[in-house]
Amino acid sequence: MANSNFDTTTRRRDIDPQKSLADFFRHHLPQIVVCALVVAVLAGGALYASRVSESAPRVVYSVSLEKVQQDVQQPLLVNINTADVEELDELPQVGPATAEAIIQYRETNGLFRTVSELEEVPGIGPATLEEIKPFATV
Amino acid sequence: MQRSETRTAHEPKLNFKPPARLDPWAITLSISIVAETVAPPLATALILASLVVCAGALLWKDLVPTGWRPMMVLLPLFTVAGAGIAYLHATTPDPLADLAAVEPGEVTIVGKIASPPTPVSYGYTADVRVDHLWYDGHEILRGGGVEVFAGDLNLGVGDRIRVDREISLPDSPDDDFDYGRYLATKRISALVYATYVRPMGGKGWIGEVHRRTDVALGYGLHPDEAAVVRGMVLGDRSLIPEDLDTAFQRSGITHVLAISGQHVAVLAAMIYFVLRALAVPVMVRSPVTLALIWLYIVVAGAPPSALRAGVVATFVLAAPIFNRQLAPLHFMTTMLVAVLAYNPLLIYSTGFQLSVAAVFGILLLRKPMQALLKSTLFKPFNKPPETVSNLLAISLSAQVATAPIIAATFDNVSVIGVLTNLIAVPISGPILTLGLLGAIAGNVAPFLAYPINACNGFLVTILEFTARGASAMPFATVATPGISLPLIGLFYIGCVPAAIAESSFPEERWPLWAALFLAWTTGWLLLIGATNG
Repeated sequence: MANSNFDTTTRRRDIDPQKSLADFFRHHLPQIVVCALVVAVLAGGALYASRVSESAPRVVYSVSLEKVQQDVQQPLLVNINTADVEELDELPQVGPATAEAIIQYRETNGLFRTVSELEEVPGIGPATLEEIKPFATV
Repeated sequence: MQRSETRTAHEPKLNFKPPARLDPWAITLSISIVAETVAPPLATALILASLVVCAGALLWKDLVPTGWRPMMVLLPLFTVAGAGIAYLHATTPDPLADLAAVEPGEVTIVGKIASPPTPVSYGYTADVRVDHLWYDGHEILRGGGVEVFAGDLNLGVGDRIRVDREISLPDSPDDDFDYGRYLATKRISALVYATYVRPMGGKGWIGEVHRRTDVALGYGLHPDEAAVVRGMVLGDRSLIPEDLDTAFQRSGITHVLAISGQHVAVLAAMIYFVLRALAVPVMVRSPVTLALIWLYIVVAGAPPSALRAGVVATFVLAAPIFNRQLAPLHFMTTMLVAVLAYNPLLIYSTGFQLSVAAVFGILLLRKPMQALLKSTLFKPFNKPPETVSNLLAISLSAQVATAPIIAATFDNVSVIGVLTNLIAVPISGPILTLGLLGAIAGNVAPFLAYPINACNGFLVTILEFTARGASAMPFATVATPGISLPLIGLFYIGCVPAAIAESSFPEERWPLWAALFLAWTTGWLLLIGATNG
């Protein structure tokens, strides 16, 4: 009896979901809307998490990755006649003191004619010169 | 009569008959997300299959049971949505990874520590969320994550740091482990090997909580025991000695050290019952409990297993507020959708896989297992001890359900875990509770922490003794090298009859299906043994 009353109060008499497709969709419209909303919320959450949230990496200043790659692949080549202390410091086995010594030598004796002349600089021996040679030019 | 007619006229136009089955939506959506993430052609096949089912359900109304028809008609919506969500994540540009791929040399990163620093052979490692990244004098990126390796990382979660070093991608995957994919599950795009990191000031509050917890747990606890309690309270196992960690693994009780459903359940119960004792109304009690649980999950570093447990706890505690029934299986599948929509790559996280497999195992296999135990092991007892049989069934279900994942990941399975968990699981709740109380009391006044920690020390000693004793036994583990994905799939296909026994077979048949399932598990292990020669 109770079931019968529940059925009476909840059933829409004008729609039989089993009768036709139109009735089926009309009958289940609330469920379809809720399902669509759930899917929309989940997709929105996924969009936010992947692309919008603070944790997603984003570009704030564009650099060309090709240029970065070229810069990285370009071998270090320091002109020992024009380089300052910082640039000379980049050479292998050359620290700030040796870099200062190179500049001091350059100012006293004039420009280097060859890279091998570096051997004259105090603190640079034959072994160090061999390490420097691939990265130095005049 | 008049009254009745008036009421009928104002009834909302709802029709709950026949009842619609809601289960398929979450299952379909989850499977579709996983399929698109793992094997995109499979997702296309799923969409096509769902279209066929939809058309069939629309045109032939008796094709599926009436209650299932609406969800079958909507099946394409869920398969397309699942594939779309996974595709959205997969196609998200990652400029940080692109930059790392060209190995641009030195970059400057300012960011926040996102995970507790853990010791590795190189020194320490920690996840760092990038706030700013400079290259060649320009700030070029914001956001994303890098894994920083450094000789010394005496820092906590949330601490702000600066690193000046080369950035690179993880090595290519080898046969055993895809490190890049593992990092991707944590949204980490690149690696930075630094000789040192520079603290930038501004200590993170989570790191501060960890530091204070360490101090508080030191009052009256031996360092090894404090490390175990710290692992259980904060999910940070970095201070646990290696031999003890191995003992926990071999004895099959490592899971008590990971923040999981058990931790969240204990914490939720503690908060909930305290609030109930204080006569706080349910409409306030549940939201407050939820807020504190999520605070705890954040403090614990939000590992995947804790996220899973947190989402399920949210459903469970929110259900009474919205007058909904508790449906554990539906909550679990809905949790899967929510978590995978947030990060589909979690499907590759071993912690997440174990957590999900254990809970599904308990939900689907516990009752058949308990029925089997009652009709065999506990048959001689006139009144079978319900709690013990239930606990043993839970332990067995979780162990068996997670066995293939453990076997494939760690190349061995703990056999003794079924027994050790009978001790470890019941005492881990009190250890966690006392650990939390000790951490709070130690920050209020050290003398309050001593008695709490002393009690906890006794329980931790039992846990350690269990782990060391069980792991020393020669049959503690079974070696399972080289398990392939088809073998794992084969095992889970064999689980299906036992998993559906509760809903599909009469109760008197449950022991039979559980016994067949255990036989299947034994056969599977023998098959692995035979495969490995």
